[in-house]
Amino acid sequence: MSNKAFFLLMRGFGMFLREFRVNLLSLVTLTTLIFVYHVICAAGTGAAGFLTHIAQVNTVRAYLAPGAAGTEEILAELSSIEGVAGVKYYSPKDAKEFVIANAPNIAGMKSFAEDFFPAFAELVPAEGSGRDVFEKIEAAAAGVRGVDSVSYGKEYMSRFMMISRGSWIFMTVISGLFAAAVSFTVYNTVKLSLYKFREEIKLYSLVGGTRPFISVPYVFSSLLQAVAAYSAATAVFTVVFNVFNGRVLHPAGINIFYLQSVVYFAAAFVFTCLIAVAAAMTGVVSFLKRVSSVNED
Amino acid sequence: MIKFVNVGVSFPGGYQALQNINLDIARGEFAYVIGKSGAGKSTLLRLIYADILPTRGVVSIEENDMNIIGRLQVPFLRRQIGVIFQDYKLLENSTVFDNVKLALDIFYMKRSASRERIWPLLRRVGIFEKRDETVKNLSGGEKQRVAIARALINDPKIILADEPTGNLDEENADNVMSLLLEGCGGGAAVLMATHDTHLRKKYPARIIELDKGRLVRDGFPDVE
Repeated sequence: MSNKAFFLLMRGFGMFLREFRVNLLSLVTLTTLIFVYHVICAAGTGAAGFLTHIAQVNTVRAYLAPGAAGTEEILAELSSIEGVAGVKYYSPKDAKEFVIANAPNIAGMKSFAEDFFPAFAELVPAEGSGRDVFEKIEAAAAGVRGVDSVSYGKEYMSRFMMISRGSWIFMTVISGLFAAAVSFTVYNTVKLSLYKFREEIKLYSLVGGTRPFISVPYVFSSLLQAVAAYSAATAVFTVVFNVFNGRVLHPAGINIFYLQSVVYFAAAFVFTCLIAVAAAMTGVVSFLKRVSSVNED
Repeated sequence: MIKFVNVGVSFPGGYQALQNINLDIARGEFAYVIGKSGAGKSTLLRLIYADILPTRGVVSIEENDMNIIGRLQVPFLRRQIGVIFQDYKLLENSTVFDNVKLALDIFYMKRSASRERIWPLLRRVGIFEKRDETVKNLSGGEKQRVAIARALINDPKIILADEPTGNLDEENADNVMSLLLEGCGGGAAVLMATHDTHLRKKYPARIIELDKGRLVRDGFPDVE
């Protein structure tokens, strides 16, 4: 690092320490904002992940027409559909047992005749198949002679995916609001500092201080403030999250929330720092434009 | 060194602060800028340290046209100019040393290196003993000496003094004058705006007189 840069950064560091008490309120505000953002992101990603998980569909179900002949041929034809990795056949008897196993609380189910349960084949698409593959298999299976109807829970899947997408949109909006709130806080703080030191700034301008010489310490001081707020907020969030998740949510059987990855924390850190620097630079530039005159009297 | 060619300055609202000013000030020259309040003395000085730009005409400092050099070059020009104000323009809550050091900070100079340059100058202006004193505790004369030290610390080529003796008694005014003349002897062009006729008689030099923004006199007392 050059001597000039080091000199300016040290001035910024000195300014940050000197003004720490004055800027404590905005530091606490920033810390709170970042903490709330972490909480919303943890809740949002947890809920979105849970919804995405439960919206997962693993099979396409092809119901055979009642009394359809040549089950072996139908199954062979279904197996040959592109993208199908396996086929499992459920006779009316198997179908009844399947329903009873999956809905044990429905009273009187056992008394129904097997004929009420249509035979079906579960088609298992190759692992990692997307929705388009499911749709192709559905269309191909519907065209197989002896198949009455085909379903893979399209609506059910769509609704959950919509909610999941909605939660991502919500988080994007929250990120925007977070950026605006951080910008506003940093902008106001740097403006107050600049106003406080306006005489010094004018004098530096009078004796030949360049724009970078005057502005870099203020911007760096704002960056340090953002770093301090982020560190404090993240530390508090990690402790609170682990305690709350371990002592309240897990014992209650809620296991959908998890601490975000290091990548999330790194990205949020960079995001916060960039916003702080941009807001500080905007504040400094607009202030310096206004005090361009050294001797206004 | 300092050249004004047909310079005019108008402020918003149409007020003409300066009209058709032609001047040439050489290196090592000392000149008084005189005139009533509102005559345009301060405006003339502000043009030189690029605090404002002329509305008409050309102001050039060492062949640099102020209209052309651009905003980014202004700080580098100001490094060659020392400015002293009647109201001192010091940081009242900082020490004498830190007020002078401010002019060295822009060169990214460390405190120890700054000390080597500031201490001898503070001795020269007679304020060394008060170097660690907060400026707000100093008298008017002492404050003006601090302002002069700040203006001289970078060995400026031009010294601009806007009513530097306005708040001072005769003894302190004499001290200020001797410091400015010393700077002039070192090769700097000195322009001093003043109302003080007694001082002009005691230290005769070129007089540039302004009236309602116009140059009405430019000459030496013995040839007036």
